Amino acid sequence: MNLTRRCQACLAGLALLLSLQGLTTPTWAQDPGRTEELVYLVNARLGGAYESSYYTADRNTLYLVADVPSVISLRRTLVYFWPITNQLKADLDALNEQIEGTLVVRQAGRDVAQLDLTAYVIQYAEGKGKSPGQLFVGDEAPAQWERFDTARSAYREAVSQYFQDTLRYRQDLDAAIAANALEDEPSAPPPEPAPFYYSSTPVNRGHVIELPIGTYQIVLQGPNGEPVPGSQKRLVVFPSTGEGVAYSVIPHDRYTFPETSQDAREAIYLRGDAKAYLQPFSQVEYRELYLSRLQDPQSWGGRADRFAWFRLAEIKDAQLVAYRRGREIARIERRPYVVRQITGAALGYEIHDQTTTNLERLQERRPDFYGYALDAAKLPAGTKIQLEDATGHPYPGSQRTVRILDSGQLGWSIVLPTAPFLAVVLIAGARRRRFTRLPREME
Amino acid sequence: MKAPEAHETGTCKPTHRYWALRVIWIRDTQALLLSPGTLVIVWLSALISYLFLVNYVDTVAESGLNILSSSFNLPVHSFVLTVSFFLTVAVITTVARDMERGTLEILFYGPVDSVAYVGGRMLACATAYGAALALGTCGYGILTLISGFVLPVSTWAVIGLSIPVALYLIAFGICLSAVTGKLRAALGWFMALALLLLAVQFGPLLLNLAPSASQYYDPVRVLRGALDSVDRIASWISPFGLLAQGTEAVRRGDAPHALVTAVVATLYAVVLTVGGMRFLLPRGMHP
Amino acid sequence: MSAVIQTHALSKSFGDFEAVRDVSLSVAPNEVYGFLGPNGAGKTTTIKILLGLQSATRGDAWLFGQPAARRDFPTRQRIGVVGEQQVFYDDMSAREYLRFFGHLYRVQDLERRIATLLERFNLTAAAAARARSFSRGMQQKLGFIRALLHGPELLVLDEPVSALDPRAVIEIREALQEEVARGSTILISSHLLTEVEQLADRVGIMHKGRLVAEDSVASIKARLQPNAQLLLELAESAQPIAPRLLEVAGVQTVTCNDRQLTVTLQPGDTAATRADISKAIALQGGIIVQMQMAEVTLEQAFVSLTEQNLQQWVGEDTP
Repeated sequence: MNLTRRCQACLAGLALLLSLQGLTTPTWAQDPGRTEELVYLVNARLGGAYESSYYTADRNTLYLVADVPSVISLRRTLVYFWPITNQLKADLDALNEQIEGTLVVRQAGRDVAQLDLTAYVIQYAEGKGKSPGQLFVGDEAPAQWERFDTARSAYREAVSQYFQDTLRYRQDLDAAIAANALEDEPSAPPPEPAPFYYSSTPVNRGHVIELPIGTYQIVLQGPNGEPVPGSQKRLVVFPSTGEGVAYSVIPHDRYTFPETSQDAREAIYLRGDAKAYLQPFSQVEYRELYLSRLQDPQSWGGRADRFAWFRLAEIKDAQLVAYRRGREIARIERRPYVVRQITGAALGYEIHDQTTTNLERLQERRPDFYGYALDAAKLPAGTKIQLEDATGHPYPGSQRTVRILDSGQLGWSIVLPTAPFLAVVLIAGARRRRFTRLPREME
Repeated sequence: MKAPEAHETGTCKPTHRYWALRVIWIRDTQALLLSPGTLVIVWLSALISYLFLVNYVDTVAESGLNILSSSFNLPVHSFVLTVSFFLTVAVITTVARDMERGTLEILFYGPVDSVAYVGGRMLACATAYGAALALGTCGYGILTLISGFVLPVSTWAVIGLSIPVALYLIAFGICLSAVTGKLRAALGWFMALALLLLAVQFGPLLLNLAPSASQYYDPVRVLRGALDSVDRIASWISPFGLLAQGTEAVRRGDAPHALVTAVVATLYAVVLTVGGMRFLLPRGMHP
Repeated sequence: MSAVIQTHALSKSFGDFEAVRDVSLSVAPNEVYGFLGPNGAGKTTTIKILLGLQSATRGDAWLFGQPAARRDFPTRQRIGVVGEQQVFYDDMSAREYLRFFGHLYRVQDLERRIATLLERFNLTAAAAARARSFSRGMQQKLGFIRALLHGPELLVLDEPVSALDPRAVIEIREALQEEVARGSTILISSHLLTEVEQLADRVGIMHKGRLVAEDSVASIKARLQPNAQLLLELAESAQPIAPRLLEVAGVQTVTCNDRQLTVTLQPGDTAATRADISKAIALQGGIIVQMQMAEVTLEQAFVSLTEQNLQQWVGEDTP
């Protein structure tokens, strides 16, 4: 009887666990159902680049950075839930219908702007992440697209020509080898065309929007002047709350595990024999909630009363200057570094200054990174560093304190927390003596 | 009926109340500072701080590098929260016991009123907190000299900010004791509210670690969102939230915001102290 | 000189329950006022109103001519209070406890005053021991020292000697007599008439929140005149002996409950009657285990008083 009950209890428990697991485990094999709905496609300018995202019908608020041009457009598309990433996805390949109309922006019941659909392209001269994004609108958009297309065609031709030249070169080389007529110094191979980083979106149509800080209401008015149902949203236009410099700090023996320093109030602690390499990046600070929603409208983290940094481009044209007690003690140049993997028992990495390394093989390689070397052995205690441009002006938020730690002395400090403990023992002893026992005749 | 002719008495000057307040303040300060409980807590807090710093130093020793906005922020946080939490529990115990046993009644028969009593207890806790803070800060000072860690201005600001926050927590304890009048009830309410506020503050962070569910409307997400919304309000009410907010403001160099949190905490401390005085009036008796 | 304590139509209600009803009393300087009543009669509530710890629902109370609810600090220092039970701080010795209150009351030459009072109450040897480790009697004496420390003009004593051993009662009574001689006014509340009759000049009796009688101790006793009761316990059942006792001269009634006998005696000298009762029991073969005269309780006093002349006061409350 007891056994049966136990079995029943076990089975019930198992069933409960399975049902709970069913609640929390992604359902991999489901065919996602697609529903047709209106989504806002947004190309929001953030830092120097444009972030593309879409706001599904269940998102009520759009987020944009203030005083920079962004582009939004309303599309009819198919939306489905994708359990792998736990997100709603827009199937723009299956359906991507532009909703015609004028975007009306209102604030406190008054129209602030009426934005018609405009042609636009977004381009990056050196590729996204390496150069700032440029938005071209109106007539300029197809012209710029043409320019990009011409450059791309020229690159394709150059690549095609390069392959033909290389083929011809190899054929000539093979013929010379076959005829045993190879010269001592064969002719140079054909030059590789310069890499093509230039990128562009195709010419699209959208509402170009640039607003000051504030909260707005947006709605799309169709060609008949009526608001398009489901197009009304709240729009939060937010500013950056600060600018600064972030450092990616690469330890000399752990190239693959760099640390990050984002705050000027941070201190970089180094062991006495350690070296580290600093890669500076400009960064902008925003409210955490706005930034996370702008980057991913379906994100659920972030709070408006907290702040987050957004990293921009690497700073290349600066010097790292070290100060101690307000006096300059060193000027550190940005240098190319190459990383060598150490094989065998001491598996790890070595970082070499490419300009000074003795290893020939490393001299020929393309640098793995550019950075500023900090050598703890050469830095006095309490050094402060900052980035300065060519005119000697410091980059705001680039200051850091560099401290050298000697862990061997810390053992003495164990005395500190034991001091109150000793006081406890002494006071407890004193208290015992403070009170006498009652005289026997009084007990 | 006509009031009887008044007998000759001295005048009721604030000095009489101040005198009673002073006597209670001195007596309670001595009791707190010489209590093994306080010293054990200070010792434990110092030990926890020390362990944090040892961990930082170990990281530097092992990996050669550690980046910290303030190496003392966590140690200082743990220290101030532990000490102020202990002092609050101590003051709740003292006030509630005084009410339960009747020692408060004996004081109120005599030249002590609720203003002198609550004021004296508050000042004693503040003095004990200040002494513990001074002791802790001396320890941190020595640790900076030994370890090479910096005790930055922001840490000093957090230490300063912790004073109104600690007073707020202590005043809350006094008010709670005065309202409930019972030790177990006061401690129970305090623990429950403290845990609730901590859960609201740190719940979203913990829920971030939870695995995401298969449904778009994930219950963990909903709970986290709800807790976040509550925390937005609670961070202006909870002493822990105010300290966290103030610390973040100090870290960002946002002096006005840090000042506002300090003012808000002070305001709460004053309101709750006055509340404690008011609530003790009808409840200052042995039941 | 006007009254030290005065109340007029003082009333206090807790919801529907009226703890104190229209109490008007007056205590003159250097007078000892016995405040009598059974438990729950409203004595402590009245005292708490007088001491400003509770507010009156209706009526007025004055201490030294000041409204009790708004006593100023100097007035508070003219009063000493001793409750039924003493409470102490865990971390204080007796001397530290007295020192703390001495500082609060700004007592001049405090150490000498503490030493004198400790000596007076035979507590010097225990002064350095924790106050909470004291026996009940010692704690009560320490409470008295605390109340007397600042030489108060008015002593308010709420059941001060209940459950104390006779020696402690005598010590405290002597101390109170000294205070009276010094010119202090005393308000002493108790539920036992015997406890206050040796000290009090006047007695007020409270019942169900009302002051049902107020007079000198002698007058009150005269009005009570209760018949004496002799309580006996025999070794075996008293049933066969009880009827015989009614034949003894001076015996009014006899009630029997197994081995217990309650014998009501006629007023007057009862010594001879008690001897005759002993003899009668012995003759019947009974063995007396215990024999004692019953104390006049306040309940009896109250019953007696209501029967005599207080019907108009408590008519609506008496079943």
